[in-house]
Amino acid sequence: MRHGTSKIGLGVAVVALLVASVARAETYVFVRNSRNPVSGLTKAEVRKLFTGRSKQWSSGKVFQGVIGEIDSAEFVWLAWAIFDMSPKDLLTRMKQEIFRGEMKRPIVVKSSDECIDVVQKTEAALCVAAESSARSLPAGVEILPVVD
Amino acid sequence: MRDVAAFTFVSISAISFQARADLDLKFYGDTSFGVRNHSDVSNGFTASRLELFPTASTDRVSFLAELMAEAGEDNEIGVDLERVQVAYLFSNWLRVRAGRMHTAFGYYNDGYHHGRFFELTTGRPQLVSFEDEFGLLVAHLVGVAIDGQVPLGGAGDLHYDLETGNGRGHVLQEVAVLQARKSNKMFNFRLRFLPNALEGLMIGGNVATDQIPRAPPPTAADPMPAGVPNDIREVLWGAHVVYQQHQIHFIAEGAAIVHKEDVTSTVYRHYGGFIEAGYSIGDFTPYARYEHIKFASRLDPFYQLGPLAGLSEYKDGRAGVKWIATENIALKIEGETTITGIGPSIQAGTLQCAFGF
Repeated sequence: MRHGTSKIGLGVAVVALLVASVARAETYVFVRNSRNPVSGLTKAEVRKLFTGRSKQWSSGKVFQGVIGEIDSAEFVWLAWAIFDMSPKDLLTRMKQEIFRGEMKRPIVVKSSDECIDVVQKTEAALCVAAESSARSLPAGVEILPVVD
Repeated sequence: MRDVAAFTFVSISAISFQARADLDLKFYGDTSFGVRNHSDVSNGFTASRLELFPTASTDRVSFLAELMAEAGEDNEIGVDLERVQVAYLFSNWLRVRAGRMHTAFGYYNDGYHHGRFFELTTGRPQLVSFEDEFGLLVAHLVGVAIDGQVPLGGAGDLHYDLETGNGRGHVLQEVAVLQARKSNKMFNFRLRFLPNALEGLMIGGNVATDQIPRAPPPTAADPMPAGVPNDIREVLWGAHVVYQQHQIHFIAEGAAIVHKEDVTSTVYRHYGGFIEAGYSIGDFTPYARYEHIKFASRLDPFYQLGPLAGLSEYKDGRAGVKWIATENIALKIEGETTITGIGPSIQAGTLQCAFGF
């Protein structure tokens, strides 16, 4: 009986840990340079920009995508949350569009902090950053709301 | 041999240049094992293709090239500059490109280039094969092109391509990269609709006009120059429907080729098309493709070369599985049956490893 109780206790603890980890799960946002006047995008517009179907921002600046490495949390989020496809499929799609000459090669960054750094220096850049990194953005970088 | 030396020189130059400039360099190629019946050699390995793919861009200007080292039927490696283009982007609705490009005809021809990593199958449909593989259409354009995308409110986008270039040479395999063979230029126009309501869908059509110049007059050095006896006017019509989204891969494409000989006024009409479909389950994509080409009942002198000579029809069916094993490696296993109306049907199997680094 005591054995059974301890098993139940262990199960509850595991569930509690899972719930806590989900609650703490990182969320992601798009960040843009403050000089970029575009104040919001739809997910479809983001997909067009990151696959070369749109080559410019509506302001006229040539789009520069900034992505994380294939196994980074930021790229995994971009793939699943925006494109509804696996990171490997998204990377293959991007490579294919570059191979076709339809897409400008994206800048690859190693972290959200580096992403924010690149966006700060590049007016036409768009990047995915962890919300925790984007809470205190440096001057010249802002969150770009993306809606369905 | 000189080709290989040049390829090596360019490779080393590109790699060292890459270290200094904003130039990206990728390598694409493939190696395979194939079996086929009704052939003197029933099976064999190939490792015959390697290409360099440099790209560079500075704001609105971009550059790309495909430099391919490829073995011919004689097992000798030759080097081809398959693509070299410089583009300037004025806006989403206007981009100008110049150089050697893939003709914007249908979907497949400029949707897939020489690297087989991205193709679903182990090879291109015969209709859109490259010139040296006796493809029926004009695969490459040497000239200038403008293209762009115009939004149609909430309905979707309209994408246009308008191109002009040297067009056909004297023979089917020729790409007029240096010497235009006639003064009349090829014109090509493509229009596509990409609806917002169904992302991934593309519906398009083409019309292209060109002239196939007659063979040059015989000389002492070349007493029997290759080519057609009379100038031929060529008109190409095309239509395509593509859907690539949510694990679905679907391409349906057709073309009508009309050749009219100037002196005899003889008209040759050829029709070709294919349907390619696949569905991805994780990293695996089972697929199938069927292609049918119907040649004119009278023998068109322009197509009496290589494997197309004397054919009244060409049917090819294939099925296989593509596995994207890593982000750089794709493995494909495929079975194929080809019927040409001449000789027995040919069955073949291919195991291909295509890579891109």
